[in-house]
Amino acid sequence: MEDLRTTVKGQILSIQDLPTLPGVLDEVTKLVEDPDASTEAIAKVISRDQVLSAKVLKMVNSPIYGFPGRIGTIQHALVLLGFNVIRGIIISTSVFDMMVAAMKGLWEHSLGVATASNIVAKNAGFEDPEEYAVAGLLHDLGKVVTAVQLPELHDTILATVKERDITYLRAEKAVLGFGHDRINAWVARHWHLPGNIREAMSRHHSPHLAEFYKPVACVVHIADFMVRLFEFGSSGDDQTAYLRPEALKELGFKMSDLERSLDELSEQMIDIADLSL
Amino acid sequence: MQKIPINLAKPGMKLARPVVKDGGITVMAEGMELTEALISRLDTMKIDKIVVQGNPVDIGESGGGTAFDERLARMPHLFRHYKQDKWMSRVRDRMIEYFRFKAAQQAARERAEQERDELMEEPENGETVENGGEA
Repeated sequence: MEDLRTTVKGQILSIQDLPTLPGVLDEVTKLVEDPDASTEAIAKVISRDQVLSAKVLKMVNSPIYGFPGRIGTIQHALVLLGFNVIRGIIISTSVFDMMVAAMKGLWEHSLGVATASNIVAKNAGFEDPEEYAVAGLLHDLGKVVTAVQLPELHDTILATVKERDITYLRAEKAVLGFGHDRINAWVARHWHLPGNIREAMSRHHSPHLAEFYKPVACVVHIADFMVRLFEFGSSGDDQTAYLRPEALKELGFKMSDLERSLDELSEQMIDIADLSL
Repeated sequence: MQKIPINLAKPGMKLARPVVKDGGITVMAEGMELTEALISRLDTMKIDKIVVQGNPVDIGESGGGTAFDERLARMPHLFRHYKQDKWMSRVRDRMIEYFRFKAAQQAARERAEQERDELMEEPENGETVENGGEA
């Protein structure tokens, strides 16, 4: 068993096999690090990839980010939402792209958690809720990576969930030896995602253990719980997530705040229900 | 509230969301009742989906459903592994209470709408209609 785990880990973490991201992303990342580069220049590079641009515009104009139907250009999107959000959108759409048909449920779940993260962040009084939304969008990316890299083991995980009636996370630990939270931490580092998003991705199941950026981990944790209540999309199992009281406390959330957020989520879910890739 | 493809729209359904074209222009307001003419107009405008009140169509998909009574029924199943956990049992009970309230609210709203529709359908009982509804 131990041997299997070590092999699996190696397979998952092998850099050369990791889903490749669009070439423009590398170029853009370099530009962002250059203090002299303008938003215009960055927008121009992204706009060169027309398919990608169309996808980004579709996402930024969804109700998730709060500007439905009002963003016409990549440059405008960059100014309004910032580079971190746009980069997160590029990564999530590119990675999910390889798996659309098979992972439609997880894509919907991720859209739901993005929406709920935005709502929870707003209700907690945080600025820039769209940063939280993109963390929500990316929170289960590790599950997609497993499906892409190790399709057979991914099938075994799904079968284990059914057979033993356990959560997807526990099934991952049983089959792989670690969960998507670990994979998240690793891919987030590999793709140079900012610390707040990385922490949310790797700590959304255990926000109380987050060392840095605890609030964003707590927001995504609560958002995940909310979306599972509605069973919007599919996270890989049919259970609620354990709601950490520490997460509520961290945000100063009472049960009534949670319910207000659920009210808003139920209103918005219908608008994102058919947001395909 | 349910999102449906335009080819499943039927006269008598009411819009739960305004219909907005790609450029952001609202073409039909929330609350409007659909007629054959309106539906074919939406069709020519290339609107492919609308959001209507209630849950009139069985699409057979879970995505985006806000039937609160259905949520209420699902709670024990979703929380099934936390029966021994005091905190999660409390959370579950609170959520059951929440969805029960929402389901009752939803049912009451639908009932009120139905009653209003029935009243509007039979205006011919004695009273003159012309100055009856002065605001």
